[in-house]
Amino acid sequence: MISFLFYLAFLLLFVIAAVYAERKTAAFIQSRLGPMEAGPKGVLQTIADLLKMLQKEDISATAVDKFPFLIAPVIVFSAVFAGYSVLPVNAGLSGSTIESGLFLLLAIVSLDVLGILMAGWASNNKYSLYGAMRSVAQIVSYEIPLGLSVLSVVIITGTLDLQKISFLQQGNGLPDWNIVQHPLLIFSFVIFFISGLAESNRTPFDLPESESELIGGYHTEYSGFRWGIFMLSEYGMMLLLSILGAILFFGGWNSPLPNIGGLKLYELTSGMVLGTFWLLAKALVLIFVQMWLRWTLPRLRVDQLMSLSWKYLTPISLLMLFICAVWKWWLMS
Amino acid sequence: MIGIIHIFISVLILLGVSIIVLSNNIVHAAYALALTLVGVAGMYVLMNAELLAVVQILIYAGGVVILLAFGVMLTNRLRGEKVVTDSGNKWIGAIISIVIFLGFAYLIQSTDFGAGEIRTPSDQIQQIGIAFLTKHLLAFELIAFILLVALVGAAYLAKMSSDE
Repeated sequence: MISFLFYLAFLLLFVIAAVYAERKTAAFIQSRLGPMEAGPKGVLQTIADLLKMLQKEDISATAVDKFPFLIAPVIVFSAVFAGYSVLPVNAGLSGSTIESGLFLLLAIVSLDVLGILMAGWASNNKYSLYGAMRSVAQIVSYEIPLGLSVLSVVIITGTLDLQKISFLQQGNGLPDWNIVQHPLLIFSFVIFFISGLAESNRTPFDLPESESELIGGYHTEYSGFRWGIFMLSEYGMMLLLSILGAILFFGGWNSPLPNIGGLKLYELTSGMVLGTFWLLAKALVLIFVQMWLRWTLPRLRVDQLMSLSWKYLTPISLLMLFICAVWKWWLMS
Repeated sequence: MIGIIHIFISVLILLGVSIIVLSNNIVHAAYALALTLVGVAGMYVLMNAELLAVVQILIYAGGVVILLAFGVMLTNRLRGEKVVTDSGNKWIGAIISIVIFLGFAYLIQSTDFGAGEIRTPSDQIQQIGIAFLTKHLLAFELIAFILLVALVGAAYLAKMSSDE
């Protein structure tokens, strides 16, 4: 329960910082300055934007299907945020301790498709509906490689509990991380990361909202706070998958510094507060990579998107699952 | 507390089911189906069948309903037709469902299910996994085989229609 509240507060702060970081990253990559006017180096720009957004009128067009239109953003956000319930924060603060933790996370996050479909359909707008259709097709397809790559970690660690997975990587910093202990997981991580990008509708997989062809996709008709909830869910999904990636592959809340002889660096840099710091720092590095990719890569075509998922990622992740099973069997024997 | 949650979920399920039956809008009915299925998943959680609840959300709410809604939208909205259905035979339907309900209620009440072992949910998944691969191996493999056949068949049918 406490971890859930922690993540709620953290997510809200994160979104404000992330929007600013996104714009500054974009500006740096495109050799521009980015926001510079509000506050020193433009740090207050997001807050100004936020205040503007909150004051906007909550418009719903006459032809929309009223109830689904109004409730869709709430469904998307609650589906994404429900995923946070099983995430641990540090060694002493685990999420919900249910046995099928990771499985629940993947299952419940997939419900956001329902909200997106609802939004696109209820908007009564061609572009919104096309956006929603693309989004659903994309999310449903990429769930398969995502699930399979997560499964290869589950096979090796033998548990679905994210806190247990973190404890299994405890002890000696970097050399104990899953991705270093079991180098096979590098391939799984790449698949996990690509599918994660697609799940959170980020460039190069932002076809559902591609503003140059669909004007914004399923949230075209939304304004003000409801549009804000969609943005919040998108950033929430990014953060969720980054934290998940950090826990599954990069040691969770464990410090990366190893003990070197008498120099107990690992013990020195562990603890409740530092553990939280390491987990979030690792997640934020992954977020930065997502932003970096967004401003570097062009958007995929629909057919490329589908063939990437079904012809490349799914077979490769199945193969990885098999290889990881053999690896586990070899480790056990 | 559990009692309140139980009542809340029951109301949710009944609400969902009523909308499915009474709504004239087939898309609303699909959403209500999702609500019902998530409600049933909640019921499973209350009964300590945690894995079943997650599977329910993943397969039914996250998979079947979405395909259903997707199908409805692809066929109707893109052609610009109104999505309206009608519910007919209301009285006969109501009578039949009440009779079936009473029949089931009677059967369930009069059946002796035995004392029933109450499992602690600590190693549920492991138990289910072991049971799948030992005691129920044949059923497990048959289901996998049937799913594979269905998948191949679906792919073949889709290819046929795109050739024409």
